[in-house]
Amino acid sequence: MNFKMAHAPHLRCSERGSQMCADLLIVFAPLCVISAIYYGVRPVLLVLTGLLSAVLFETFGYLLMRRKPKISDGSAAVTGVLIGSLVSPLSPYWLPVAGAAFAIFAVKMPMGGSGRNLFNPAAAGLAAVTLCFPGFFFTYPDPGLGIPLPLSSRALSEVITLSSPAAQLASGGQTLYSPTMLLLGNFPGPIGATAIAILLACGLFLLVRRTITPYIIFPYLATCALLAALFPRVSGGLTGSVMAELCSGYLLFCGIFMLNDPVTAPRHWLGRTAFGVLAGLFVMLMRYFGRFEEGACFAILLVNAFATTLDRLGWYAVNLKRIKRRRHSA
Amino acid sequence: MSKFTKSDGQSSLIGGKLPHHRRGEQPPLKRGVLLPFLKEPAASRQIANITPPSQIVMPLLSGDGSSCHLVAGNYDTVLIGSILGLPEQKDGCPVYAPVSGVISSQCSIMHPLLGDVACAVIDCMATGGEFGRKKPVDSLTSEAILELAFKKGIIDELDGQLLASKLASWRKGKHIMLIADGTEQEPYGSASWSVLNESAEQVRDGLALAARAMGAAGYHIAVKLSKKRHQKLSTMLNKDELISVHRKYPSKPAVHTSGAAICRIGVQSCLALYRAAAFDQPPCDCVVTVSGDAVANPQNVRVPFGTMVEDVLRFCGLAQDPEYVILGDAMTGITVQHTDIPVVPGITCILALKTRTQVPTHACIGCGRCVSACHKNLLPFEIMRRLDNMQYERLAPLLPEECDGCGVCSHVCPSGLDVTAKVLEARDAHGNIFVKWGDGDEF
Repeated sequence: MNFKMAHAPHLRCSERGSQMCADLLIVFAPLCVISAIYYGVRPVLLVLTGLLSAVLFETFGYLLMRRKPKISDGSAAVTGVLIGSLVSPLSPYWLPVAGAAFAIFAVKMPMGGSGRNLFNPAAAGLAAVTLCFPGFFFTYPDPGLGIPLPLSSRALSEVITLSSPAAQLASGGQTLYSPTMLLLGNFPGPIGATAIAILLACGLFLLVRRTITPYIIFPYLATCALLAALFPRVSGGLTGSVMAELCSGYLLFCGIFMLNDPVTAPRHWLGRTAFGVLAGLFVMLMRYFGRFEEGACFAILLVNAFATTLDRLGWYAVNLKRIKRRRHSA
Repeated sequence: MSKFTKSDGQSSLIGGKLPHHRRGEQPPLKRGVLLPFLKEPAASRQIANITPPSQIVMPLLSGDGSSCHLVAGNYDTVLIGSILGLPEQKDGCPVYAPVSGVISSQCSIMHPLLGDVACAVIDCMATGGEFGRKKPVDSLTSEAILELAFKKGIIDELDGQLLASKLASWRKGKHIMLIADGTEQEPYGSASWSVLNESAEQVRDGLALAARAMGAAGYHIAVKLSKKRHQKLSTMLNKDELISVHRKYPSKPAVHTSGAAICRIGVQSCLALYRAAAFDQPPCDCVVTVSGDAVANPQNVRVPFGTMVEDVLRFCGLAQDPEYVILGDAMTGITVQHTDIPVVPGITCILALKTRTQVPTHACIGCGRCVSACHKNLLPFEIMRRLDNMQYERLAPLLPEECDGCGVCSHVCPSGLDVTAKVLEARDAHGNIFVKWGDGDEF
């Protein structure tokens, strides 16, 4: 009788890459619900548009490359949802579609598809639409009114818009939003990035599930907080400045979902820590000196370029003695 | 001068490597993974003695790796424990007959662990052969113990190396703690547990002999047992002789709490050393865990060397036809295509599996699970990537030769990649996979 041959180990753990993507998709549900409470069904439709278009584009991309579509791993869905979540609730429906198209066709597929992209596709897609259509970004409806947004894009011109906390930070002065309002997401901002308390809970869930790593998110937030404390842009004391910087824009959202994208982040703990610190630095520099009120997606693209180098340097720094001894003995 | 004398510094025998024993170099204990506990019901059963098979195939390979020639001809009778084969070199260690019987023929087989090897086929007899009476072991000098371990060809089941060479090479080191590794951290194996359960004192005495032979600072038996089993074992031994290891696999700290470097030998080789010293008995059998979802009666079986894997599986019974037969445990074992393979020293577990975790493979998503689980502090994903991209000359700085093949990186990989196999490929190539183009005349 001939038995089958296989490489050891013959026992594999049950965790799969698709589960990590499923975890991410699960945590978007409460963010969409909060957004729906403030703005009605429109934001949910925008997120779904992003999701569906990204999955369709990826399938099409794989077919173009004459390869079997691998959408079951969920990475395309996450990209689409991330882009859909970071546009304004007032955006037209084609905006997330355009972002997803750029993310899949310009950033992901030319590199070889899932697991091979050098830059975070969602950050790249978002950066592209921010640069191409800045008019649709950074105009946010007032969530305090509690009136559902019209589903049709034509009727949006009558909606009252407000400047977001990030815009207030950019212009300086006093922030108008209390910490409670910031935590509950009761302030103008992108669809999924405003409910800070929910975002923190999502981050905790993902940390416990080991989908995201503490080595990136904590150094990132610490660097942002440190810079916000050292160079405050608003009056209101140390806490006020740190709170306003961390809760405004999509700084926290990007830290949880985009920086921790396993494909584009370092794997070694020291590299990850340096990656987090560098990302925090770039995000704050973009805010202080950038053209837009929020430039986290640009900062993430920038820091993605350093990921591989940081990974190697981190590992070499930890194992320097070992490598030297090995060279010496060789 | 004996070849085991301490003063020569360089032992003539190739043995185990001296571990690095600098503080701060041991990997953090939290590395590794928690594996499922699949040792039951084999672990709680008594060791069964296999029904003598009609025929065994004994590899004529001495413990130090040299081939041997038969001392008797076909149709000659050999007794258990008598010399079966003598090595080509004058000072090699002989091969002993694991059973009493009649040599029926010689053959050559391809063994997955030993390679192409000549074997003696012995038709077993039910009776015949006995060992001497118990002798005192306290008066043996360290040289005498090493000589004995060498002459009896005792092989350490942890790595399949000659115990005497390992002990001799460790004599060079200072302040070494010798550990009998009975931890059995892999999911199925429980052979060391059963041996300890059955003859803990003899294992301890054998370990003491080995520690004396290499001049160790002390010795311990390392176990990873439940509280109840630990208490039971501690009634048979002194409490300070037992140490427990961390729950995570693989837990192989390089430094003892006292600061001494740790060297490991197997529990069964300790027992074999004691029996060699006390009863002048060469190692003739080993305890093997037979388990897996296709095995009807998972248990630990005492098997004479040379018994076919097929006979061992038949003794335990097969509930269903296995798809995979594995020599070794689930994390490091190798699959075999057929079961006409003799059991040799170093095999402590045989698995027959109907199903094996099937994982759909994707490209590496770079989650870093392999990096955080690797207890050798390597970058398995990067070694695999450079190997796949044929960047062979860039492999060496990543130290793939330090991999011990524990299998954790493949185990945790959510993309289902055979990371361990790739890292081992890089390790075993020793930097020789780089093809020098253009230096031949073929173009």
